[in-house]
Order: sequence, then C-alpha cells, then structure tokens
Amino acid sequence: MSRTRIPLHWLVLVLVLSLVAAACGGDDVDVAEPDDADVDEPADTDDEPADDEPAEDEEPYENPSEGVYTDRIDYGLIYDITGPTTGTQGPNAEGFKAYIARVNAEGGVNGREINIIEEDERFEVPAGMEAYAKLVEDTPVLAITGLNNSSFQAAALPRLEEDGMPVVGAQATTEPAVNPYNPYFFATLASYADQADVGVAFAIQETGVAPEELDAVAISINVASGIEWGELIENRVEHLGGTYHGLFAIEPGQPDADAEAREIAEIDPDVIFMHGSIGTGIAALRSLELFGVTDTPIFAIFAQQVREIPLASTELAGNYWGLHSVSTVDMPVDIEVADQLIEDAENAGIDRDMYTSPDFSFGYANAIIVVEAIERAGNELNRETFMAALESLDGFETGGLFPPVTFGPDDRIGIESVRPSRFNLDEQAFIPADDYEVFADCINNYYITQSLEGWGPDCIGG
Amino acid sequence: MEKFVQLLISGIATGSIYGLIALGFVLIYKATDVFNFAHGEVMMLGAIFAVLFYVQYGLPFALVAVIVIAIAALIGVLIQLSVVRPMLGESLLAIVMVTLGLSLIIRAVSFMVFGTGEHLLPTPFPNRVLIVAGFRMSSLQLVIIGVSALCLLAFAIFFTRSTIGLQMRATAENFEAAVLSGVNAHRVFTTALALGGALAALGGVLFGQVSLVNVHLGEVGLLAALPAIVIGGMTSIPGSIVGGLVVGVLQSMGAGYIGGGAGAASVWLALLLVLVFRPYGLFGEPEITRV
Repeated sequence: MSRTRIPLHWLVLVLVLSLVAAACGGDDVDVAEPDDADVDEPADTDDEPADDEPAEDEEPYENPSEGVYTDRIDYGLIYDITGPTTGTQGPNAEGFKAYIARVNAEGGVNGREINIIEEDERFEVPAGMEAYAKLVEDTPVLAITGLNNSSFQAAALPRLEEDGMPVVGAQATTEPAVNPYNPYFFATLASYADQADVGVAFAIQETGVAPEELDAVAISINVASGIEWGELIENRVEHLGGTYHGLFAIEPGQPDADAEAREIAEIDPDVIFMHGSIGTGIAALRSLELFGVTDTPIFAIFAQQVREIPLASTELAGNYWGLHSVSTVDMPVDIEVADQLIEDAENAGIDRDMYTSPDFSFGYANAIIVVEAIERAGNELNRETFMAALESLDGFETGGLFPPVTFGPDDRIGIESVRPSRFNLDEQAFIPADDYEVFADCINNYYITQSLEGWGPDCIGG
Repeated sequence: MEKFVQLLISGIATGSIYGLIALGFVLIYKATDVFNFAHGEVMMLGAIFAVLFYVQYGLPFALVAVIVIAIAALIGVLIQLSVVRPMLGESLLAIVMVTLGLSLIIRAVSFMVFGTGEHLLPTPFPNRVLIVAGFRMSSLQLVIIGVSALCLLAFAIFFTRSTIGLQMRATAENFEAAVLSGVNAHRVFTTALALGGALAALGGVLFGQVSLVNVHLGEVGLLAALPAIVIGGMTSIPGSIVGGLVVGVLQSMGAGYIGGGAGAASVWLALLLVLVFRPYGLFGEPEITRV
C-alpha cells in the first residue's frame, strides 16, 4: 500500500492556525445577568393577552413588510444557538418562547398569533449581522429580541435606525446602546456601570471598610466587556480614595485560575468584583479556595446557576453575592408568575435546572413586556405603534421577575434597578439584601453622564 | 521560587490531561497515518456521557468510567470501519478533510441530542486543599496526575509487552514489512482507534472534573492536544505526553508571570518555534524518503 506524504509540519501549522482563528471568532462574552428577585408587593401583571379582535367594521390590518399579518405576527429572536455561549443565551430564548407559547395557546394577541423566527448568531459578529439582515430583508419581523453579544450589538446598533427595527430585551446593555441615544434599542438589563455603582457602594457597607482604605481587585474573562468591567470598578474605587489592585483576566476555556488566585491571595483584598462566564467563575472560585481566599466577599455580575456555586466551592459560597435585576422562581421571594412559568417550562420540556436559571426568567419577563406592547398597540400594529406602546410602559410589572419597567419618549432604559443578593448554601438560592428602592440612588447613569459626581457609598438607603 | 513551583504544580495537573488526549491522537496517527480531527469530539462525548450516566442516571462513578471508555472505544472502532478503512491509500489531505467533516457531524448530532446546556461533572474524589512543604495543591489535582500517570504506565506496558502492542509498533515502523510478516493491519488499526478513543474519553472525564462540560469541549481539547502533539512530536508516544505537560506548564507560567492571554500565547509561540527550528517535534524523528 503506497502512501502519499506531504510536508506534514506545514500542513499542521496551517490547520492549527485555522483552528485558532476559528476559536477566536467570538470576541466578547456577555452572559445573562443574574437573578434578582422578589417583589414584596403583589405584582400587577398584565400578562393575560387581550382577546381584542378588530371591530367588525374595521378592516383587518396587515403590514407584511414589518411582519404583521391579519392572523399572525412574525417576531425575530436572534441568539447563540450553536456557539460558545449557548449555555446562557439558550435558556434566555427558551424562556421567551415558553411565554409566547402560552399566549398563542390562548389565541394570540388581538387575534394574531406570534410566530417566532429564530436566527443563530453563533457568537460571531458576521453571523449575527447575517442573521439580523435576514430578519430585516428576507423574513421581515415586527421587532427583534437579541443582540446579546456585545460585539454584535455594537456592530448592529447603527443598522437599527437605518432599518427602523426595534430591539427589546438584549442580554447586554453596552455603552454604545445608550450613548448616543438610540431610539430603537429598548434595554431591560441594567448596565455594567449600574451594577458597578451599586456593587462598590454596597461592598463598602458590607465590609465596613472605610472607602479610602478599600482594597479591591477584579476578575473577569479576557474579553472587551471584562476589561470594561475592570475599568468601571477601578474608576469607582479610586474615586473614593481606595486602592484598586488590577484586573485578573481569565481566558475562556482556561481550566483553572491558580496563577491569578495566587496573586490575589498575596494582595489579600477586602473585596473581589467578578465578571465572566460560568466556566471562568467556577475556575476562579476553585482556585481562590485552593489559595485560601475564602473570607473575601465576591460580587459577581454574571449568571451563575445555583447548583454550580456550592459545587465550585462550598467554602466560598456563603461569601458570594450577585448584582442582579431579575428573580428566579426558586428564590424565597414572592413571584406571582412562578407557577405559570414553571407550568409553561414543563409544557415545553424544559428541566428544572434551566427554568430556575436567571437567563430563563430574563427571557420570560421580556416576552411578557413584548406581548403587553403588542396588545397595547392594537389592531394597527407596526413598528411605530409597537415602539409607542413600549414607551407607554410606566411601572409595568412582570409578575415579580423584573423590577417595575418604565420606558418613555426619550427613555429606552427600562430597568434601572440593581440589588445585591447573597448566596445561601442551605437554601441553595440567592437572598436579596434589600428592596430595589434602597439602592436606587446609587445608580448614576454613568454611560450617559460619564461622571461619578455625587456618587458615593452614602447612596444606599433609599 | 515558591511561585514557580506553585505554577508548575498547576501546569502539570492540567498538562496530564492534555497528555492523555495527545497520546490517543498520536497513537492513532502512528498506527494508521490518520490525522483524526474527530479525536476532540470523542473527548467531548466521553465527558458528556459521564455527565449523563453519573449525574442524570446516578450510576457509580467507577461504572460510569468503564461505560464511557467502552463507548468511546466503540466509537473509535466505528470510525475505523466507516472512515479510516475506506480511505486507506488516499491522500493525507483527503483523510484530514474526512475526519474534519466527521468532527462537525459528531458535534452537530451532539447539539441535537444533548442540547446546548453546560454541565458540571461532580467529582467523586475528595477535593481538599493540601499544603506540602509550603506548596498548595488540591487533592483533585493529585488524583488527576495519578490517574493520568497510571493510564500512561498501563499503556506503556501494553504497547511494549502485549502481542497487539508489538504489532502496532511494527505497523507504525514499517507498514509494508509488518503486513508481509503476517500482521493483520486492519486489526491493528481497529485497536489503535479503539484505544485512542478510550484515551480521549478518559481525558474528557478528567477534564470535566475541572471545567464545564458542553458540546464545545471538543474544540478545547483539540486546541490543547494539537500543540502538545506538534511540540512533542507527531510520531512519538513519549513526546505526546511530554508535549501535553509542556502545554499545561506553559499555560500556567504564561498566565502567572505575564497575565492576561499570555498563557495561550506562550503555547502557540512555543509551537511556532518548534515548527521553525525542529519541525518534527522535540521527540520526533525526521522522515527520510529514499529515492
């Protein structure tokens, strides 16, 4: 048997470089933000779809160029279906679809069923832009939920105004999305800046350390949003006179963070601020435990499924805090729609691990908002009336999953509430430190103001 | 010095896993001349099945390990029968493209079957912090190093003392002569693919102890194993192990002394240097073509 040989080492080099290029395709990780929970007062959820049909003498309205037909509405859902962040974007999409399935089972909204058209962004900007273009040109939709990848979001934002395409409920709120003002981007997630505002202020309160004596470090995944997170923390710590010891960046897929944890142990900070993915979070927690960093409170802004934390480090679990704006149904708080969410999830074959994730709740709550806006828009539904309906949401309740949602004619940031929640190992759940209102004054709208003037740890109190 | 030793310990633990995966890759290549890009996906399947049987079905971990290794070995056999055997005699590029395609198929099917979720594979091993001579290590790291070493030792004995192992070595040294001597080439290839798959799956199970398990794990494994193979030498069994350790240590040292993405960059820099100055790897041998 003859064998043809080619210069193997060059072939290997070419193939290896190709794999590296493919692996580096996604350049940012945005993970769904965590949970938040609990509304003390009963939610006033308008999640029952109205059965308003067009009046008998009213012509059935349709606008196919915007995905609106007499019997259905085409609605776009762009998310990472096959890429590296399916673990967070997938549950978000499932939550969205679960609520829409309920609405459709009950006859749709104003006589129209909502037909979700899903496109895969693969956590790659070119794939995301292609997916977006399909929903504008090939199968036009009323609006889109997605743009969860911050790099893709930044690339797509200029197109929204060109195409007149509203986007609701992205799993990231980047600075370009809100500054300059983009009338088509409806944010339902507190920004990294908001989370940093509350996180640093609360960390000072929680640790009892004087602001000027605070020693802080940040851990993040080594992507643009992680670096941004480090800069936001640095600005706030140094604004208060404290010492910021730097950002420890962990590579995606890195199996451990021993090198980083060793250095953090030498610094012995008062507080650690963490950003990243579930994988990097687990690596970081394990390594921190290995190097004895078990008493330092950790404030994390990314979704972390409850069961992952104790498995990562039972010693650190009790010092682990989330900075969140969404609640999950397994939290010991009042969530009016909890039973409904669970029923819808189970009907869709979703297991408990997924429907108790903050990502699932986030998607479900966004679907409630979208359906409410469609309902309010009435028979003559198009992108303009849909956006006007979103603007009319003022203190809108999503059954306890989100804090009250408020948009407005010049306001596209629907949620400006963040609260710290501490993980309880016995309850296996996050327990909120207090109500959203207590932390409201800490939020500085930094992406718009670009200033920390007036912000400080005294902001907590409500 | 303390920092160096600490980073070395971390690097060796991770590198042990890479070495296992790389060993399986080199074993397959050395015996069959097949550059099996689906090797990473077999590693992924090992981890995924471990989660399925251990977490979902609650089977004892030892039984899970046996089942997973057996499944992976079977997958290796199937690859041999469906891909390698029909492609014998074809160009290296053609075989590479076929195995690349196979890896994509395995990943796509895995998406459909197992979904997109991320799972943690709980460890049945004790995971305590040990302080030895002032250096910190976790008991899990020691277990990983120990298990990898045992596997390598067992494999070394198999490869040097068993009949099929000797036949595999003969086939790798001189295929034509081995066949003429009565070695059943297809049985050798099948054994190589089965063993390679088993090693990959074992690497996947160990990797799942320290990292999240999802259907993308194959890419992670392949991106770690390829530099290990190139650095160690594509045709060297010991080289694959050393290469894996080198990759693990370079990742750890790069992250520890430079930070950021320097861990990964260190590995690729080392790979490029080896390719330029010693293209056959640290332990590989130059190919000599006689005209």
